[in-house]
Amino acid sequence: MTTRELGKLIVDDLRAADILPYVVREKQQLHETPEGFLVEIVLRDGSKLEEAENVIGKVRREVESRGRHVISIVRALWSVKKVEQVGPARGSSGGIKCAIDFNAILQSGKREVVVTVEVTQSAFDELQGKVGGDGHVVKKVKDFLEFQLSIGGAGYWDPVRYPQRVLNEAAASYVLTYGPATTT
Amino acid sequence: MDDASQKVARVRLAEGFFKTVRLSAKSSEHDIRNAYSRLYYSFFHLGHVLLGRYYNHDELPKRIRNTDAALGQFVEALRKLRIEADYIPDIVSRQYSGNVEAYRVKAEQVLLEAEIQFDRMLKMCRRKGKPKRPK
Repeated sequence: MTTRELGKLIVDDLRAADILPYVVREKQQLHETPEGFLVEIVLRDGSKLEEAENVIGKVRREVESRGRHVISIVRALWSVKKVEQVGPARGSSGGIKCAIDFNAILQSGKREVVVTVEVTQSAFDELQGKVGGDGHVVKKVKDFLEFQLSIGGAGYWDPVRYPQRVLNEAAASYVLTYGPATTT
Repeated sequence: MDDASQKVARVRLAEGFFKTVRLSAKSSEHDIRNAYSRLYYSFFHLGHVLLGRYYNHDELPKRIRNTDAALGQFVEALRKLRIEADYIPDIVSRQYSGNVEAYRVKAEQVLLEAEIQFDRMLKMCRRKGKPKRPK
């Protein structure tokens, strides 16, 4: 099977399942590697993720029956709708951690998720020292989320499965230097 | 299947790979690619100790997921990052807007999670290797 044949199979199956209109075609990736085909499907509506995963799962089984492997990444494009500071972060035992929690609402088409960003105290101090008051820190937390969401391929962040992020000093330095990244 | 001495050697290999994964502000794109590769193989070898036998790259994360869902998902994600690092020559321009710094920050976050997961996996291996108390 060639990459072209696999590409056609994926498109045909996504079309048959009515998912194709939700696929961001220009972000689709298909690479042949010695370990199998690396496939990335990007959706503009997170409410279609499970359906798209099912379609790619079916494609994977079909390709595997022909003796080849498919390594798949199915993700959605998300935007940050709202960010707010919540207060001190708490550990699993309920004790206060040396960090501050922020909640954010992310949106992808018809789907919304609430995520929490734990900003370590050192990162918070660095952000506050460089950009000023709490309102500016909220903006930097938004930049951080946009950076996380901008990463495509295997490094993508799935906010549905992993609704918690940590903003540490290294990440704070990054957002202070670069701001939000352009979406990939 | 490994015998007892091979298991010990495999754990040592996994720990050796893991401990030599280091990232810093000076890490280059190729340092990061190497880091992903060594990181994945540290989990790959420890995974075989945990499961008690060899599985291929496709099968291993699925088998680990049967034992521990979060760990299996992490190994699966690490495998994909390693494949990108090993085989996709223009990964930084494709997925990180050409910004090596973004690639590094992401890798540092993965490494933080890897430290938690590797420690958990090591403890699971040790528990599994412990002789059962006689009733």
